[in-house]
Amino acid sequence: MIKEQKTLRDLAHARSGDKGRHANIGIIAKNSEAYEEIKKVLTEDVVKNYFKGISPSKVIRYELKNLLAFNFVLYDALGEGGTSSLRSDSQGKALGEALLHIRI
Amino acid sequence: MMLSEKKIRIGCGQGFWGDYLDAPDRLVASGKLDYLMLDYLAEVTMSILAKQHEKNSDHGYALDFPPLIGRISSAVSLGLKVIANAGGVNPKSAALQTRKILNQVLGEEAGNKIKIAIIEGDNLKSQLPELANLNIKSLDSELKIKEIEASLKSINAYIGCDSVVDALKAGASIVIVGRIADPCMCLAPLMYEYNWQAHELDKLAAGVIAGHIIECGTQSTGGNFSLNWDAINLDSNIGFPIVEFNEDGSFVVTKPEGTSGVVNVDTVTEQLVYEIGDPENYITPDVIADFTEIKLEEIAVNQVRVTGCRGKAKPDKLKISASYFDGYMAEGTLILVGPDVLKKATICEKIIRERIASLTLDIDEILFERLGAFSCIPGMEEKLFYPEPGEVVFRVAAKGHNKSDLSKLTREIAPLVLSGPSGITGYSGGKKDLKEIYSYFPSLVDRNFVSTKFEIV
Repeated sequence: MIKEQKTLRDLAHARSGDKGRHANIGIIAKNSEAYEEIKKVLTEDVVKNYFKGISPSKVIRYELKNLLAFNFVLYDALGEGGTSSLRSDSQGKALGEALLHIRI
Repeated sequence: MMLSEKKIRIGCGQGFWGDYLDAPDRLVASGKLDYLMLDYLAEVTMSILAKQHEKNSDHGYALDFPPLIGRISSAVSLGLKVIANAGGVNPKSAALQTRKILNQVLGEEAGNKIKIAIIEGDNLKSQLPELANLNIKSLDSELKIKEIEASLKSINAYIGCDSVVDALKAGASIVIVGRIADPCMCLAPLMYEYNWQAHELDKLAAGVIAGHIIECGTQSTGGNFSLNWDAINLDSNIGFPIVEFNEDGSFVVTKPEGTSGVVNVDTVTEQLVYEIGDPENYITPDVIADFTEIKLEEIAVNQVRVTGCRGKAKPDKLKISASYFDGYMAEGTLILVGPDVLKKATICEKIIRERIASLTLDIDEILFERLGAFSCIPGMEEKLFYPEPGEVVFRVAAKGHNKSDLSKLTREIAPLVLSGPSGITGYSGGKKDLKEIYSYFPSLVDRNFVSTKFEIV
């Protein structure tokens, strides 16, 4: 059962959205220990692989240590963008909750 | 050093076109605002407004806006100023209709005392031939503007504060803009009130960062908040955000007393990292803001002080966004009831794919979702080990340029109620009307290409 396993939700909260055809996911650590742990394990490659179903061409992770936060930009992850995507989640608003499910 | 005591309060009463219609009324009634900012435009909105303008030359702006001003007209009479990007592709008609309603509500004498300004210059449609000759390319693909010229619906530059500040200097109480960079609706009144100059980059960055925090309305006051969300006790009285500024560029994020929701370091941080790219370079027409030294501090209940905003010189280029007709979308849904809903969905998908092949329908792309099983993000369903749901919404969405074949596809969903597996109900899709798709074309242009001006209407 997933509940018994540690997930990113134990360490952080999140919000996601769109930038044209790219998506962004902000991840905010609950404290500085959590920030360091996330920094170690939640790499660009890990996030890219987790979301391989939406085929991001690349993932860039930015660090905002002042806010204990990271910003992940998932390039080309929204098909042709919010206005022409077929998906129900055309603007990537569900991506944050989805990433919080990742097992750490 | 003596610092000015003058505090300026700016509230945001609409986070998008479709937000609570009466939110600005409530915010104005209890927020003690100097300025009200209203954000109507998302990336997709300009194409919708351009389409409405083609059908009716008096439309093409946010039609909700003039009646809204009517409802808050007494506050505007008493000195409240409003900055809104409600103008869309037709700020002039928005202003004329607003004037009409103001004069109806307040009477002509009082109504005419309120100056309404429009800002022009963001709409580049008349300069399209020149833009096409500049060989402008999309930021996201190899597509050039020449290739979409024939199907182009709207093209606008994201403009900055200059003309809004000029309009405020000329005494405008209501400033109606088209495609301004959203946070500039917050920065412009601060530049005007505090006489901030172009070289005071950290102050300009503070105005932009404040605008970014409040531009999505309640997303900074407890809405869409993922940390302990059910501890917030969300109800229908959520407060819309307010920033209270000091001349030195420090500010406090808050909300009206007596409203629900929460403003704390966590809610503000979630909004700070929303829809941004490189946090060291948040680009706007007036300043490039750096988020990486921002400090947040809870100074009282529902009051977060923001300091450490840093700015860099404004960019040489402005962002432009165009929208162009790019085919049609068809959509339909069924409800599948358990047991074995996922297997049933797979069979429904197989039947539809076979029918498309045998009817040789010309479709560019098709997507099947099993909503309820975390399938709104492709690939997520397999990753998340939820027990199989008792029901799912089976959704089919397709797009293409062959209108007739897409219409035929919409007829292929309902027959599954009789011919598919047992437990299918709720046929609601196969919407007969196909949706027109307007794709988004972002690019850059030299800022000298764009000139803006204000006009008192």
